[in-house]
Amino acid sequence: MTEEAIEVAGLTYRYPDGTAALRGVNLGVSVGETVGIVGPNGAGKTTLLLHLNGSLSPTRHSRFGDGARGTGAVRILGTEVGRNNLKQIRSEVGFVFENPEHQLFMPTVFEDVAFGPLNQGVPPEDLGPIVAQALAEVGMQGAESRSPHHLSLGQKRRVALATVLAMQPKILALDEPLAGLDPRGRRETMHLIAALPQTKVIASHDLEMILELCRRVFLLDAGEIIATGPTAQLLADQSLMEAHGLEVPVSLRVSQRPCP
Amino acid sequence: MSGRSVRRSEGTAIHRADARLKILACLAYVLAVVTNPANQWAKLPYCALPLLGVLLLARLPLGKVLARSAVVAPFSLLIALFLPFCTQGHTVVTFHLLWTRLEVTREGLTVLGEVVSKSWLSVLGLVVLSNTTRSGELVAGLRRLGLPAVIASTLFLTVRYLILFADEAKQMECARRSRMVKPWYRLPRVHLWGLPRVHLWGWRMRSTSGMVTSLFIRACDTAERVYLAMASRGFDGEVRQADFPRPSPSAIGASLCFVLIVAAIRAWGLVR
Repeated sequence: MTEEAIEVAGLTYRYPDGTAALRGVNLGVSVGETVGIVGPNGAGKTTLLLHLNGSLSPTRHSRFGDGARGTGAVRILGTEVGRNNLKQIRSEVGFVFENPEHQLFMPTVFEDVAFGPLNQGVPPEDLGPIVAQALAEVGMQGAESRSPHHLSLGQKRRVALATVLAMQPKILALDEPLAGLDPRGRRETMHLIAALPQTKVIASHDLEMILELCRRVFLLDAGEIIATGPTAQLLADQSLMEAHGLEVPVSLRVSQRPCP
Repeated sequence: MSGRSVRRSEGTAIHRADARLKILACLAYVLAVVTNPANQWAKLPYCALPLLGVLLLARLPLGKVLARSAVVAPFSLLIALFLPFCTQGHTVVTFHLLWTRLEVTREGLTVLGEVVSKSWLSVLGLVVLSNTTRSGELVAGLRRLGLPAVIASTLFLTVRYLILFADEAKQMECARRSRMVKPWYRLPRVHLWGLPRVHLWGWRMRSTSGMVTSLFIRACDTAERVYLAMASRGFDGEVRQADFPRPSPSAIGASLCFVLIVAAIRAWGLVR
């Protein structure tokens, strides 16, 4: 009786220069589930994620020029993403961009985290506790008055996550959440993501992280879903992984190696 | 912890003062400078005194402020340079250039001095304003003073993207420099694209133009991403300010004092 959080049906997308980024993607994610989308660079992972909150849409491509074309449908919690319900969809789907610099654009961390709630119509008096709670969730309490420009990459990633959490989304779309982090940053951010109760879609080619965080995984290459299945099983398939520019995670290789 | 106490605790009293007051005071100052009577420009330096006071109170580095105010020099000088030649009056110097005769007049030189000093003093005021007020507050202040939302958000985004541009340019310049090891005058002459003996610094100029082009394209891409990130968090064109407290009575008093001093100096300018 699991309810579908995300339903993607026959989604195609072609960029204005003619590049086919997605070719008939079907994907379903249940409420509360954490799924991974893995694939090599240029497979269409980010393009697919951008469809989840309507940033790209099969019914609305004017922003990207007339050349962009898409078909298919994306349903979030049973509502089809369309021109008229973007505000609602974007409150439900929180999008964390790969580069936190793109996400943080206000002079202080406080204003940045408050940006989403303000746009949702939260009265300014109530912002203090909301911001404090979102920052506490990512372990950045007390950073309100700092400038995002002066934070380290790891801290920027946390604040970027907080800016989205402050909007209380039901679904999180995370694009390469660990890119460029040091081992401690990786570990901490992974614990952080694992502890979040939301439905999560993580796009990455960091298979160790996917293995640790996701039960189920979709393999995307050249805009098509090549395979789907339980993470450990799919990622251990050496020929499949190598055919699509990935490799079996070290931890799986080690555990399968016969003891000397 | 409330957001307000955190955000308002930095800088001097002038930094913390309400943006609207600062905008209005700056406007009064600029008006006083530019309306100073034409024949009284010896009194212009006194207009700068109240500004100097603000500068000291806000503990701004004088050198930095002066450097920033020099940004407009090319523009105002370019316009002003023609003035001594096209104003009627007593001839001071005459140039014979080919078949034309150019006359520099005393009245023209006066106008030149006046235009340059007035524009510089006005810009100095704006530099002090922008150095004591954060861009977000400035835009919100303008919005509260009745600036249309479209213009306010355009201003806000311009500032935001300028920062991106600057960061991107800095990184590219750094990457370019790390691959340039010789100064331009010690570069060898080489054969490039079949052209005989092109000096490499010409090629270096080409790399600069390429850099500008790719900076532009990258900035467009980044701007698109930033917009998506903002739209993903419900941005619809209206810049919303988290809190906008009432200006404190002391801040109102101080700005009134500033405006009065400026007005007094301006009135004194009328006295012969």
